[in-house]
Amino acid sequence: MTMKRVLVIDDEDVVQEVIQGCLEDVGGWETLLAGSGSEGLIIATNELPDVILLDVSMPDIDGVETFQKLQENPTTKDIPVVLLTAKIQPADRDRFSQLGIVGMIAKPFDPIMLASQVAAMLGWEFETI
Amino acid sequence: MSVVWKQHVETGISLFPRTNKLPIQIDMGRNNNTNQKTIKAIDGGCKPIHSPGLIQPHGVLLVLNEPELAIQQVSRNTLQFLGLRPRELLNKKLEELIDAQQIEIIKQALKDNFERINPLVLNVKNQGNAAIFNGTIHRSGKSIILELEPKIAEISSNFFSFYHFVKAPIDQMQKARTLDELCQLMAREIRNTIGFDRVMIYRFDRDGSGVVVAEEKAEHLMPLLGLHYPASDIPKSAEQLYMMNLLRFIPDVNYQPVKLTPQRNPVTKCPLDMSLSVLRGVSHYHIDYLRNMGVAATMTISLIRDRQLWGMIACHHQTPKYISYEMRTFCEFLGRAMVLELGAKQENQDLDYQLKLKSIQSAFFEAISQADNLFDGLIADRDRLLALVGAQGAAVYVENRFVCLGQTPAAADVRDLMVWVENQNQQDIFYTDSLPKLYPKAEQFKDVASGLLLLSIAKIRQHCILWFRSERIQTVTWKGNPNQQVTVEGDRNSHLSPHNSFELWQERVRLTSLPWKQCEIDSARELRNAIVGIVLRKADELAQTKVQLEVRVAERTADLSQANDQLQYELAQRQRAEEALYQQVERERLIGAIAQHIRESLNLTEILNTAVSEVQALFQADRVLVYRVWSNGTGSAIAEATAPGWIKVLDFVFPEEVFPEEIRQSYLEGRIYALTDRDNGEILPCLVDFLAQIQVRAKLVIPIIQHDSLWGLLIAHQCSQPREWQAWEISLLQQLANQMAIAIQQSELYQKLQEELRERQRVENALRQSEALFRSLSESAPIGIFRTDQQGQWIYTNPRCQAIGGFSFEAALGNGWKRFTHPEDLEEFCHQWEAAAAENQEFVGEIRFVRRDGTVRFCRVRTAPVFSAMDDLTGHVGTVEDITESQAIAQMKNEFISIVSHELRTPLTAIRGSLGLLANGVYDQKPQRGKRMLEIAATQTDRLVRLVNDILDLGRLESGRVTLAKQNCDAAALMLQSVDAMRVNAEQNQITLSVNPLNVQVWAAPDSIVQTLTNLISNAIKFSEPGSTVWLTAELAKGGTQETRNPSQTDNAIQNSNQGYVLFQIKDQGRGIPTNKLETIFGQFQQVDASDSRKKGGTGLGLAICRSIIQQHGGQIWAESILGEGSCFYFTLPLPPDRSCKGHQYYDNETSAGD
Repeated sequence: MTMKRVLVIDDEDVVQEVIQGCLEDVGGWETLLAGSGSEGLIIATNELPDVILLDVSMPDIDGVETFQKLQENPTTKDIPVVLLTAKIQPADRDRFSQLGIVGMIAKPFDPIMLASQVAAMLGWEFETI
Repeated sequence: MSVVWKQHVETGISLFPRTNKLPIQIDMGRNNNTNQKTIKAIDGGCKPIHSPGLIQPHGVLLVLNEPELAIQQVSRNTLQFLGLRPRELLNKKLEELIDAQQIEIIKQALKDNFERINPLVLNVKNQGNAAIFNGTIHRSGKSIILELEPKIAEISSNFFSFYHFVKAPIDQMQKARTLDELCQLMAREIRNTIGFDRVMIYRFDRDGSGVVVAEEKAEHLMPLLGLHYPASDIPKSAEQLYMMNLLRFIPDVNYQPVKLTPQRNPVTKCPLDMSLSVLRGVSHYHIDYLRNMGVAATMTISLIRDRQLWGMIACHHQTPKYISYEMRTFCEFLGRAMVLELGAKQENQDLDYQLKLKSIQSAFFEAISQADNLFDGLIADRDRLLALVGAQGAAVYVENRFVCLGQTPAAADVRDLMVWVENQNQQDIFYTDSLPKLYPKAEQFKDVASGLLLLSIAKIRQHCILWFRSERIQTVTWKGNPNQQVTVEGDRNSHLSPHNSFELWQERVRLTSLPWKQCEIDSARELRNAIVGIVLRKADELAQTKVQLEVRVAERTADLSQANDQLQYELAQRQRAEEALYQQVERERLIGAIAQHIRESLNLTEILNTAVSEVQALFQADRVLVYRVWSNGTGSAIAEATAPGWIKVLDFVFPEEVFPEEIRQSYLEGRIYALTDRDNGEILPCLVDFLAQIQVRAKLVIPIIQHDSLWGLLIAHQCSQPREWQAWEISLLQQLANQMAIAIQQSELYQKLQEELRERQRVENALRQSEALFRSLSESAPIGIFRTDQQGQWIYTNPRCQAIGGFSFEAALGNGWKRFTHPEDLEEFCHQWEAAAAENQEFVGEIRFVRRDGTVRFCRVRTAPVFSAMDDLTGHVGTVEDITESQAIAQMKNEFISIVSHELRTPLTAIRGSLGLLANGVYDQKPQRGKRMLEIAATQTDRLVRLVNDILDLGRLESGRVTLAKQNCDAAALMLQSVDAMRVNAEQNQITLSVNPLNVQVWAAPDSIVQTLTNLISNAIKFSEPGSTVWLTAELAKGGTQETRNPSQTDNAIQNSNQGYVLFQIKDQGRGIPTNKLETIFGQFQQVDASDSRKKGGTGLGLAICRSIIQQHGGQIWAESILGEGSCFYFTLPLPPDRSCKGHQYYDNETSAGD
């Protein structure tokens, strides 16, 4: 089984680091990091990760717009996307669920469970390392 | 003779050349018209017409002496006809040419009468040949003229053939009824017989002028019918010749005339008198004339009647034409026959006319006799009046009435004419056919009145009739074209044309009308007789009528006189009645006046007082009073007028008995009570006493009735003596009582009205106050109020509601308000409202109103049902609140919370994540990683702390719960303190801090200012490159609005006032701030570059906190920057208050602080 490759798009450095820790050191996945939506689009197109973890609130292009751009691009439209969000209002939730993502994970999340939650959303087999 | 034609046209005939001025012929008689142009008769020697010495060449002429019948003269053309030359014939005897038998006849006739043998048929011997000739023989002086023409046997000469020839024409002539028919017939017969192009019949007038009365012609020729010739055209001598020579014939105008030889008679030595000669040569003039008219052959026959030349038959042909002797004879005969018939026809012509006149007369006279008056009868039928005498115009002057009918001169002229005629003429009829010649003034109106027939009906000027005839020229028409003339050049005068003839004739007949016929004059006379007869008859009738009238008048007079007596009697009676009436009227008037006085007032007391005093005065009663009957039965006198000397009863108490029930009842029925004398024995004694008490001798009581009840009594007393109350007095008082009743009623009504009015006024005032209260509530309320009916239709909005919604009162009514709402909200809002309203519940809802300018106001609408006193729903009352501001604020708060939530969760995510991994032993084998996780947790915790602090700070500042405690601070101290706090930070970042402290007192909360300064310095350091400098300076500035340091803030509290302030400045050399963000960076969580700032530990609230602090100090904070070069942050602080006035002096006197 090849190693899963996850693209993390988040504007906060520390959050990137932490997520990287959760995924690589707990899930054993390879992570690709992007600090903005535009950066993320480029990497996604080039690297074709297995899944993208996408932060919603970013300056410049926000998560929703980034997701729409991913969908428009035939290369990337089939890559499953999981939204990471600090917004927990029901209105926001409804809006996100309309988009076509595979799932949402709220911040702050349980670092140990992050990878397994993602795997579950995608239907992967998972074992912590 | 050469003649030049300008226009060759057959223009007519000329009977004779105009030889007026032939010197030889001076016996012209009528031809003395000197207006004619002189025509020179050049005829090669001025030969007279009757002895030209020439013949026409269609025969030969022999002059014979008597009794030998030897040939003395002969025409030169004998060779052609007789085969002998003239010299061979001269001096021969006739018997050498013709046989003895014929000679014998001639000789016989010479003794007798020639006329019977002409024409003769002669055989002339000529050297053995015999030729037959038609001969004409006549005497001429002492000689005998024999003219021979060759016989052309056209007509078989037997007795009956002639008869056959003439039978039919004569028949026709006899059948002809009128003269015109006869002439036309003649012309046709002649033309048919001889076949000439034109045959005309002339008739001569009494004055000698001629007119063509009948004509038969070839179609292409111009008509000459109606052409008039002046008498001058036919000289007398010519006329004589016409009388002698009935028929003249020129077969060819261009004939070569044949001279006689010898020219003069050898015996008489004179020229031959050829008057009766048929072959006689024609004068040059005549020939010219005929040629001019294109006539080549001509024949004329004289019509002689009563030894006068009645007229002529004239025949023309355009080419030479020879008519045989027989034919000529036939025509001559017809001419004679015609003459015979003339007489009868002429009479007939006239006869018809006379009959016509007679019938007009009878109709006319009938009409006049039946007419109301003579004048109208005369003028009733204008045409008849004129036709009576054949006139064109008439004027009637009868019974002072004057009228002109038809074509007459002007009225004034006619009147003058009448005067003139009367002076001229005493007869009953005056007539003329040439009025202008007698009365020169008439020349002015010659067109209408050249002929005048005046009939005077009565010798006095009052009655006459004038008839007028127009100038003859007016009545004569000639169909010829006068413009086509022949002009003759040469020495001749060019007057040889029918047009000229016509003109000449016109000249002749100028100023004359057609002459009056005898029958016409008779007609007029008959009229006069008829009028006179009628008038006489009418006079007679009048006389009779008069007699009758007189009788009638006498009768009428008798009747009238009788009637008059009757009237006188009635009149006397009437007068008496009138006087009585007058008296009554006078009294009524008085009463009326009194009544008016009474009615003038609405005040009861006034009414009553007026009534009693007036009545008292009028009746001369000693006392008059009004007695009021109260509802409980009692009564008292309430008004009184008493003559002096008698006691007043105004407050007298009337005992019960005086006014018992029965009496009251009778008064109620309207009965009056009149007492003549107290002591008349009919009154109860107690009453008598009572009356005596009040000094009453006689009384009269009239009830005053109102609304079917007895209001009171009007009472008149006589105290001095008994009084017989008169009927009229009683009647008047009754009327007065009625008037009073009305007046009283009015007065009571008036009182009531006044009451009601006062009540109404009170109610109105109350209402007005209530209205004002309502208005103050509704109109000025700071909240929108509206009212709906039961169906939810809006019926009222207050001004505030209208302002919020952006509609007028009228626009909002009914469902109008809905138009102003946001379409997205309306449906849901109404749905919810209806649901609540159905349950009669209160309702709260929110809806947006969209104004016309597009602005949107969020509104909260509340309604509650309104119930009437009977608990019926009458509608809803509602309020409208503009919550746009609070919405905005709420929205901002939501956003703030949203952002804060995010800002909190982000470090928490990092902390939880890092610590979680660590705690789970993920990094047990990776200590470096583990340390890193702890590091993350630590820094993020700090971040959280800072954030929480800032949020709380800002919250406190914004909420206003914390009022900063301001005091006098030294600006330098503050600056140094903040620099101190930042020193380590600056060193770490290799930034040089430069500070220029200012020793000026400011009014501020020191900690907050230090916080502000440190924040700004921190920012400056954060965004500067290592090695660069950050400066902190301050300066003292004056107040005033001239130079506002911050261009975007013009209503600065400090800077607008004249107080001084301190301006702080933090300048860096950092990367700068884009211009569009210079304002926004002071907002919450607004960073130029978020991630970068966060890395540097920024919370995003620093500048917002600074702004809040400075604003609370009443100062301003702003930034200026140039990208890439650096930024400069400014803020101002006020000076301490007690120093502010001295601030000016402070500046002036002292050196500025900070030196």
